Amino acid sequence: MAQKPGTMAQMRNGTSGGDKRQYETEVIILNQCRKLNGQIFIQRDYSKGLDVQFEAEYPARLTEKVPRDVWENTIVRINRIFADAEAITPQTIFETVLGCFTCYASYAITKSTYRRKLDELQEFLNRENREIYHHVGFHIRNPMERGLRVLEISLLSRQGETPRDDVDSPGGAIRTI
Amino acid sequence: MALMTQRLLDEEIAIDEETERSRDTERHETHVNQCEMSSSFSATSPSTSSAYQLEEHISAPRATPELPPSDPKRRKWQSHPGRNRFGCGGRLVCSRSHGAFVVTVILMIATLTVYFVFDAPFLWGYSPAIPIVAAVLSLIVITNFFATSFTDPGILPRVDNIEIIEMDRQQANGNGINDVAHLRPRFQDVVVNGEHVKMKYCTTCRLYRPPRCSHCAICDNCVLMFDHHCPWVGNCIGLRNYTYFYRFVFCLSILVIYLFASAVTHISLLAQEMPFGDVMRKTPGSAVVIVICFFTTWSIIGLACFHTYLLCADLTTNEDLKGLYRRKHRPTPPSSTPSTSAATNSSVGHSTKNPFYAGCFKSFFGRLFKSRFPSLLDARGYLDPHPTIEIRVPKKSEKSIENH
Repeated sequence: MAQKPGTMAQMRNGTSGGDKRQYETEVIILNQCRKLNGQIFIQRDYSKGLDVQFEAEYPARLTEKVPRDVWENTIVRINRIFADAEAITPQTIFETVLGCFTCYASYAITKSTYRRKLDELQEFLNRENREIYHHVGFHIRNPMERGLRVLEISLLSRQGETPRDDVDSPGGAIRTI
Repeated sequence: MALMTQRLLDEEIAIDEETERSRDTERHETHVNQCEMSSSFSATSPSTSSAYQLEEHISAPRATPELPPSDPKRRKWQSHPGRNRFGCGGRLVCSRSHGAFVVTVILMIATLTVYFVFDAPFLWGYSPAIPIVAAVLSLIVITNFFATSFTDPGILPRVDNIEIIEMDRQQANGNGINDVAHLRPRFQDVVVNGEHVKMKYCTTCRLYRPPRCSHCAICDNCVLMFDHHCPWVGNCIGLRNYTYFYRFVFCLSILVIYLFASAVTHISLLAQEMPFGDVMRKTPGSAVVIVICFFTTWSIIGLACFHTYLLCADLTTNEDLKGLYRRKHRPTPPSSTPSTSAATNSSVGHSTKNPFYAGCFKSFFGRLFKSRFPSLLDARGYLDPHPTIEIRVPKKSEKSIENH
């Protein structure tokens, strides 16, 4: 099983440096994580109307892993991105008018404001996941995958133990590459 | 280590049992659905198909716990369960029933051809602007027509089994009940701008329909902001193509009046020079245009006015037909407490105001000039039954090596 941990790891990553700072990439199969741990669903908040907004309530399963203010910051940012995407601005009006006059040829060429905001959201989620949520075993998925109905947070590790390190490949959710 | 694995296996088995149980409950429910909806044949086939799909889905990960060899090149539209037709590799979406659509296309093309063959050359002599305006209008009408027909109206993709199972588990844990009927009540209540709105559970798509979303019986999809299914354009009218539809109807009503007026002018100008019989013999096309326009004008103008009203009142056709916000048709309040409702509204019925209405001007421009909502179908995206993510973790020396 374990022969020479340090050298093996170094060979695989091909990096050298302080061993505290070393990272490796793990591939996680989300379906297995879902079977093991379930997911957290953040439902849509319709109280202000149909614009895409998610409930800002602090999910109970995040306790002791993610501080409340960090979560609130994340969800407020997500909601703000959607609010910006749904807003009527001179830019969206211009987009629409231009589309009308060019027989919607401009739609094929340019990205809509909404689409650009979604790209921004994806970028934001990637950053938040990388910097905060992956370290504590969560992964916020892009709500577009769920048709903007729910915001899904996958639990990468189980409460109390860390299957991320211990699951063996045959039955396990995680393989290390 | 061995102990850990053992525990994990136990866990795995427990979870499998759970999925088993959920599958049973699912089966039970689909059975109920079939009984419930056996009268309407259209509803039976999707529920059975979803059962098959479920069967497949549940059994697949059991046989192959590792990443199964699925074809990575399949796109999402290829396995879309609704009754839709896709074109251009998933870029175009329309309904599968297209009889009336063909009629509309033929009627439009025929009328315009006749107009440009018989009337336009004559009117060009008076002023070239007359046929040019007609050409521009027809171009706008035709592009909006095809945009309406081939845009995804805002279809909500169906919910996959993993989410259903997990939702049920969370619900059951939260409430301590194991009955499916209690797990998924038919209605969920949400408060929108202070008004209660019911979210109905869609047994086909297996989700609580968001407010203003409705299931189209013809396309078998839940469509956001469902307006109506328009057979003439061969598509549902919903959140994403309503603006195209409105522009189409509005411009078409102008075009029809314009063509009618042009043809009448043409005939009356000719009639000053020659007897009426000769005029008919000279431009039979004008008469055809007049007849077609005369019979279509009324319905089209009516439709344009109706949709202008709907835009100003921020309603959808669906809501207007159901009379959702009118007093007469609401015998019971959705969920206000029985004591207050009995005291105030027991005899009159409960009238709710439209919670989405934000003022005439605002709703009119809000619906026409919002940025285009993205297609939730993501029809061109690749199917990924086993999504993976890559994360960067700090190296933990021995444990990560044990995997090899």
